[in-house]
Amino acid sequence: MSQKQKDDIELAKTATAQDDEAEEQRIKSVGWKELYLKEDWWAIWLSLGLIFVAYAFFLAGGSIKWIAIHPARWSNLSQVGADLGKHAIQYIAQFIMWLIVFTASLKVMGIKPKEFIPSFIFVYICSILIFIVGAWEHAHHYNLEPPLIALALGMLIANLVGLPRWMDAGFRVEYYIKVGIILLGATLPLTLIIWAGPVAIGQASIVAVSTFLVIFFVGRKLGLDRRLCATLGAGGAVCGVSGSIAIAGAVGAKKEHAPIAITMVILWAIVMIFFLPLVSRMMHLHTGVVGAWVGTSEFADAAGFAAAQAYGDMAANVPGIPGSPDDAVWGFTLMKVVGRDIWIGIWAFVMAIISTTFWERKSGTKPNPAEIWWRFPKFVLGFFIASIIMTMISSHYTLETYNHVLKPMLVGPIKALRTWCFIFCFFSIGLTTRFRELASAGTKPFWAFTSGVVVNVVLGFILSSIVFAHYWQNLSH
Amino acid sequence: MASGQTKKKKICLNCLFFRNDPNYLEKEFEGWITLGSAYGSVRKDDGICSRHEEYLGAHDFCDQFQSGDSAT
Repeated sequence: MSQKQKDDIELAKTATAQDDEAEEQRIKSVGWKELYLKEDWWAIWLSLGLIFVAYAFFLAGGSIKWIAIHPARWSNLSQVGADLGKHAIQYIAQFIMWLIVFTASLKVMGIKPKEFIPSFIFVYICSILIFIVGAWEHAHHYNLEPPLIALALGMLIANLVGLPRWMDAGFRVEYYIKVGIILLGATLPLTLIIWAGPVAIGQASIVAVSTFLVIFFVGRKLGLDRRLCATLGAGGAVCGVSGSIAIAGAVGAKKEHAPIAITMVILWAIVMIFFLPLVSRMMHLHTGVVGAWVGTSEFADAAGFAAAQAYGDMAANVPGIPGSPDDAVWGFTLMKVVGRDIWIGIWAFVMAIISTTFWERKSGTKPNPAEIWWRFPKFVLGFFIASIIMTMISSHYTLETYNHVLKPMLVGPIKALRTWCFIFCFFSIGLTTRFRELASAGTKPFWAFTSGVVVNVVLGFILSSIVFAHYWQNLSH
Repeated sequence: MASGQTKKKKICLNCLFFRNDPNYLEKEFEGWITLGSAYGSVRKDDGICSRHEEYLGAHDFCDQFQSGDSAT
C-alpha cells in the first residue's frame, strides 16, 4: 500500500471518528427496496389505499365523507365556533388517521416518530386555522386564498419566529404533495389525460428545451462550470429542485452546485406563486389557460399547485374570471406532471451520457438506460392508476347519477382529503423557506437562471393563452 | 474482506468517502426540503463524495476508491 493510500485511509478514519453518524450516512443501493424506502411508493400505497377504502364504503352504501371533514363557509366567528364544536370528533378522527399513516410510513423510511409527531400536530392545527380563514365569505376580497395564506404564514413563522430544526421532520412538502397529486388523479378523468396529454407534452417539451438551453448557454457565456449550468438548467426547465438534484448526480456536479440551484429555484418559485395568479387575475385569464401557464412556468410541483389552486379559488369568488377552479388544477397537473415530470429520467440519462462522453469527468460510469426507470417519479404511476380506477368506476353510472350520488359520496370526500394534503404541503413550503439559510448563489448563476425564467414565463404565456388556448379553455368539456 | 462475502465492486456506493443517507443529504443541502426531498425516486441513491466534494451517482467510481470496510 502506497503512502498516499495510507494517507487517504487515515483521512477517512479521521472524518469518521469526528462524526458518530458517519456510518449511518451511507446506505446500501436502494434498487427495488424503493418500494418501501422511497416516498413516491409510499404516496402510492397511501393514496390508493384511501381510494379503495372510500370505494368500499361507497359499495356498502356509506361514504368516508364523515372523516373528510373541513371547515364550512362562514360570515361571523360564532359560526366557526359552532362548526368546530359540532364536528370536533370528526376532526380528531381525521387527525388520527393522517398521523397513523404518515408516522408509520415515514418511520419505515427512516424519519423518527418522536420528531414527526409533535411537528405534525403543529402542522395540522395550523392547517385548520388556514382552512377557516380561507372559508371566510369575504376572504377573496383580500386575496386570502388558503394556499397563499398557508405559504405566507409559514414563511412568517420560519423567518421571524423560527422553529427548531428537528421539526422539519413534519414539514414533508414533497410527500404531502405526492399524496395529494395521486388523490387528484382520482378526480381527473382518464379521457381528459388522453385528450390533453399530447398537447401538454408538446408544449412542455418546447418550453423545457428552450429554457434549459438558454440557462445553460447564458451560464457558459458568463463563465460558469458546465455542470453548474446543467444543474441550474434542469431546475428551471424540468422539475425544480428534484430536477436539479437528479441532474447534479448524473453529471457529477460539485457539492456546492446543488445548493446554488436550490436557492434559485426556491426564490423564483416563491415569486411565481404570487406573480402568476395575480397577473392572471388582472388579465381575467381563463382558469384552464392559467393552469397550463403555471404548469409550464412554475419550477416545482408543490409551488405550482399553490399558484394554480390559488387562482382556482379566485375564479370561484371573483366575478369575470372564466372557467372553473378544477380547470386551473387540471391544466396545471396535465402540464407539470404529465408534460414535464415524467421526463426527468430521460434528461438525467442524456446528461449522464453527455458528461461522461464529452466532458472531462474524473469520476463516472457508463450510463445505463435503466437509469430512466430508477429516476422516474413513481408517484406519477399512482396518479395514472387513480385516474384509471375512478374512470372505470364512473363508467358504470349516468351523468345524473354521477353528479347526485358518486360525486358527493365518493369523489367529493377524496377531493376534500386531497385539499388537506395540499394545505399541509403549502404550509410546509413556508415553514422550510428560511431565506437567511439559503446558499449564496452569486450574481452569475442568478442571471443565468433568471434569463431562463424570462424565456420560460413569456413562452409559457404565449403557448398557453394563444397557441394552445383552445385546449386549455375546454378541459371541462 | 471477510470470508464468505462476495467481493464488493469498487464503486462510490462501497466507498468510505461516499455518503447518501437521505436524512444526511437534506441537512447538508439547505433548502432541499422546501421544494424537494431526498426520499424521492428521482434521487435514486446518489450521494456526496467527501473526498472530492462532489455529488455523484452511487455507481460512479474513481481511482481513489477506499473500501467502506477499511475504517471499521
